[in-house]
Amino acid sequence: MSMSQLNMSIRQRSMAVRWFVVLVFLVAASLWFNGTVQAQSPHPFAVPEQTLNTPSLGWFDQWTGQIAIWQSHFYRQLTTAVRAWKADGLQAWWLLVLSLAYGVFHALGPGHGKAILSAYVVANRETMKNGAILAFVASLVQALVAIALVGVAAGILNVTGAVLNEVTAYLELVAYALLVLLGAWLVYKHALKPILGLARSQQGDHHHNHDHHDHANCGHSHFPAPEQVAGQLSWRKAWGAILAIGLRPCSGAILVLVFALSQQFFMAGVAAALAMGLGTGITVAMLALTSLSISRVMASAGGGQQRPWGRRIGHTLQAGAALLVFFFGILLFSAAWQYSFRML
Amino acid sequence: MVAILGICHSQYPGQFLRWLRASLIAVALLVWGDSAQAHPHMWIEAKIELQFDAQGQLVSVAQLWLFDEMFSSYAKQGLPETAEGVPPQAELDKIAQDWMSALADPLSHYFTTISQGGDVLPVGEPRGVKAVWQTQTDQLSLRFELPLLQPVFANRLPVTVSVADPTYFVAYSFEEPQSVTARTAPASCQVVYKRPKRLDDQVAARLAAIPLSGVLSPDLLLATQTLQHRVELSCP
Repeated sequence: MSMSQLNMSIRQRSMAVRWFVVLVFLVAASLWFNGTVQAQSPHPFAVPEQTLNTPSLGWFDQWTGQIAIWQSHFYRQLTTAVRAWKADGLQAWWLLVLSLAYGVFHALGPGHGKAILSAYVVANRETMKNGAILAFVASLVQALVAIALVGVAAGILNVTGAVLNEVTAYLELVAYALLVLLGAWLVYKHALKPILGLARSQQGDHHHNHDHHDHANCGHSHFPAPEQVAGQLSWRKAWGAILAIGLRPCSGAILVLVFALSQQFFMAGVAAALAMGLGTGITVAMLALTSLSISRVMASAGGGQQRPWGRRIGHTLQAGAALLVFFFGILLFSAAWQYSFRML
Repeated sequence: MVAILGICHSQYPGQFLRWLRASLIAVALLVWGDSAQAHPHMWIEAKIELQFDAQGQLVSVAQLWLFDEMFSSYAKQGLPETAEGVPPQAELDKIAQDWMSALADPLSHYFTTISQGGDVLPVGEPRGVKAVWQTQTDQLSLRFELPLLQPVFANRLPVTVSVADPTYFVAYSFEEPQSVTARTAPASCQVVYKRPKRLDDQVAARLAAIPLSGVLSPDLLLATQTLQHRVELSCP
């Protein structure tokens, strides 16, 4: 056996070991979460709605309570605003402002897009600019999915609300399955690979995996600078995150689109859905940027990328954020899975 | 991630603890955005009519629920329409039956509880179920009666009808005039409507975190009792 063949087989075996670890991790995490998650059963008056009740932190409840009140306040005026626009084109601004405000507050309330995106940008150490772009693109995709769904299914095929609920549930399942995959990939890249690489380097095995230079070695980490990692937004890398967030349309957008359709004024619904998407994008971008800033402050508190502690904190944050995306994925997917079994 | 740190440097315990605290804060900040509250997503203007027999016993509780426009248009979506742009009554009857069978689930139980002296009074199959499309306001309404299996006098102990969606998906309102009536009641009877207390945010969030099948702790149970719209009937 030649030297290169030997190298190949060692490499293949180490790849197999890595994937085995990833697989065991996935299965264990799924089993654990499946036992703990309980999805809401379908409500008698079902509309496309979040399938999961997430527990909250006590000190934040006052704030979320207030957000819910504001959100309802804007939502309840949407029907009047659609009618006002239909009667008088100059009243369009009122619907747009309401929808934008609804989007801003909706994104602050229940919903997981912002947490996923925040964790994703921290895990990938995206630049501030890329974080903001991703937030707006994901929110825009979410609005476009709602417009396409209602436009085609309700506008052209004229399906009932019950069918719309089902389609939304399927979209949700696909989105959350994507999220699990995205999370698994991030965990592998930012948590498992560094640990595996480290364990090997401690055993004195100096095998370097040169397709990515991001394994965390204690003494001599050659982690690329953030500009190199994420200076240009890689759409190939980002589409998974965008779809995982955007594929599941927001219920408010679907409802306003259906209402506009019932008023034979679908364009108002399209405008409202886009304004909601913009509002959601603003909130998600702000939260993603906040998370990025916090993670940077924490890494620089340890001396930044030039110091071992700064690097360590940086790597740990990335790994933690990757785990967070993965756990959100499992949590949401199992809730949606149970929900869809009860509903479909 | 702790493993990375543990392997790397364990000679800085102070720094480690500081790091740990900082990461916990970061995780909390990432998660906080998702502290969900099951805020209302639909609004029902409700009316209650208490119905009595000739002896003056309460025999049934009729309700009329008027759904908000957004939900109404969603329910109407995809249904055939008559020349007047209204769904045919046969379609509305089908919807009403679907809703009633969904509402019959013990977890929802028509979002209505009738009780006397702390005991829940069992009810039979709903009667007089009818969904109507209100053409003036483009709203859908649902009417139904819950008959008591055992009619009761409200002379010794008052009878309470409470209406609420325990998941807060639906917000009920009884604010319209004549929302609570008892036209066939004996003259001695008094009917009082009690508005729900505003839910304090912490309780609301704790409730939102409980799955539908979950069991409420005694203090939460006490809290939810103040959340219901209550109609109290007493005929001294």
